[in-house]
Amino acid sequence: MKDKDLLEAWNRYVATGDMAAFGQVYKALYDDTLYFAISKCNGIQLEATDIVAEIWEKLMVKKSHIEGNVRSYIFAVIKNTIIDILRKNNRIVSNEIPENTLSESMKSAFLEEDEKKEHDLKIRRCLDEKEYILITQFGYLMQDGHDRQEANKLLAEASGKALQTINNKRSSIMKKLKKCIKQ
Amino acid sequence: MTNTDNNSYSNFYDSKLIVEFLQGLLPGDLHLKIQRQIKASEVFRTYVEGVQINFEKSGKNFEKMEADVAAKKAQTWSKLQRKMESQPTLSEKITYTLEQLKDFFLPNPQLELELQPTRAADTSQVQISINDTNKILRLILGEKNTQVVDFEIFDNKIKSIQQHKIPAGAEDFALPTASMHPGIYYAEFRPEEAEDYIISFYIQKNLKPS
Repeated sequence: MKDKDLLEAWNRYVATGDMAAFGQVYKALYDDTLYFAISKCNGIQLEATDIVAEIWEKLMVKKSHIEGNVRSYIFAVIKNTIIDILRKNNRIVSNEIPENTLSESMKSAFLEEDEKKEHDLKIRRCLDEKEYILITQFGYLMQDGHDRQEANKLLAEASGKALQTINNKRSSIMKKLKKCIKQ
Repeated sequence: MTNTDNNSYSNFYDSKLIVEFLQGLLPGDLHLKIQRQIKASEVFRTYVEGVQINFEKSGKNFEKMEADVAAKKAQTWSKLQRKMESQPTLSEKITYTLEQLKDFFLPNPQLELELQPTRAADTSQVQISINDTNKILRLILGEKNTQVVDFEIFDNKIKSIQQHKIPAGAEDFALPTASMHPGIYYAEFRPEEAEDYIISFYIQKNLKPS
């Protein structure tokens, strides 16, 4: 769901109480909010699932008008809620949650500009021509701002194949690539 | 509260994409773009770290991670539904005319035709139970549900009302019906590895004009 559609759905919920509109926002953003909270709660012994549940309930009841980006708004609410909980428990004195630094395993996923070519060659060696073209095109579409579903749909249209076929093809390429890169 | 984060790459909020990024499976250009976004945006970095923590917690099994998140999502949704029930619903606020009710309960010929194979072969694996008092629709999937099932509810004008993803292994799945007016509806199920099928159901069947 695009950011503007999320904002439209949210404001429809605020204006009319349309629960289907609330459901659309919830469905689109729950996972993102949980992952965000999991990271913020990491190492401070708070249960991310409970905090996220409490925040969605608060959002549903309060029906606050949002300007700008719905996801960013909810992320800010999560961050502030965690700060409030920690402050109540005398666990922080400032307005900040202790910051996590990039974990070592994430750092290992980082490439330097000059490693890009080698990285692409590695992927190229693992796949046949058609498979390589498909994932490269998928990459371009994602960089252009399309989400996964749109990218797969555009690839299906361009190749004249069914969307499900493209989805399956991409899944099998990723499995093959994962296996090959591990070796 | 205002948005100060750069969300021009909102399509990167995709756990599957992030897991593929962390595993080095993405083409170089896209990989570098995500990497730049992680460095540029604290909020995005926090999200990516959340995905990473959860992915590692689930034994680096993406399907398991997704299923766990889907279960939590359904659980929280159920809690929200209970909260919703205490609020006045659309149907409690509105009284319908006989003409409106006739229109709401009029079966859609196209969807009724698509129902035929389901009825004839009895291929449907899901049962629908409606509680008009609690405004809850419950899908009973049974123990045999081993795959993710996408499903969508349409009204009799083929307007999409709700869309959900039922995680693999879920034995039942509850939805709110408080915002749905009385009438006939159609639920389309799209299992990952089986034929799609449609089931029809009524909301407030007691209001169906004879």
